[in-house]
Amino acid sequence: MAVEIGGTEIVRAAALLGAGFAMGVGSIGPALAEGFIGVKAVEAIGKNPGEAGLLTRTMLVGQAVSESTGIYSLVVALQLIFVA
Amino acid sequence: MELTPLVKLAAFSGAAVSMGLGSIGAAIGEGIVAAKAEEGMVRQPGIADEIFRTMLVGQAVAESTGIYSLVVAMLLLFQDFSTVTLLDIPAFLAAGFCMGLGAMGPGLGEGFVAAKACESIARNPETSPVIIRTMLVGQAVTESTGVYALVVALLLIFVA
Repeated sequence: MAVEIGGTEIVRAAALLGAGFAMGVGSIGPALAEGFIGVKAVEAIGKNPGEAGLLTRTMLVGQAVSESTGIYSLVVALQLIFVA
Repeated sequence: MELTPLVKLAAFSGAAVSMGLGSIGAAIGEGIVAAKAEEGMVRQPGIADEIFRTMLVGQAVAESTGIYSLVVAMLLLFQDFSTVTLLDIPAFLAAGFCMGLGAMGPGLGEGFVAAKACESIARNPETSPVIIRTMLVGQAVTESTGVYALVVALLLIFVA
């Protein structure tokens, strides 16, 4: 079947491609950063097991903040799919 | 121009990108875990079993985003091409890039965590329960962006 490509299709196609790239590229940074935080937490608990509770709490707070840009990417990707 | 071959082109390219990029992070991460585990076994041969077990658990978690990439690639390859629309072309390409790029960060990050856990257990074996617990919690948080990428890829394939 033959198809017509107009302005609406081009905009929708760009939005879908943008959604994929937004979530794909946007997840690299937070995941790496959260991994680095986990690395240091595991290392510090290995050196000083008595502070395990404090270190785990600090790790989770730091990871939650790092996570925020990943959530922004998710929100933008969902908007590009469903709103744009 | 016929639409179905173009949609197939997009779906197959998306599958290739998803699996190709998605395997980079998981492979490097797991390699780092194995390297650190061997280093720890050389230092503490008496607890080689414990280090080996930690290495396998850590690698299994680091592998998970690679498996998501495989799932997305399989969904793109083995789908029904009888009813396709024009917008399937960008959606399938975007799904491939989303899951492929999205799997790199979690694979690397979780690998770093598991590698340091193996090293810490070799240095201080009696703390291994709390280290394994912290490793799994940290990896679970790191995994979240990989799950977001999987969700967006599935939405692009099935909803958009």
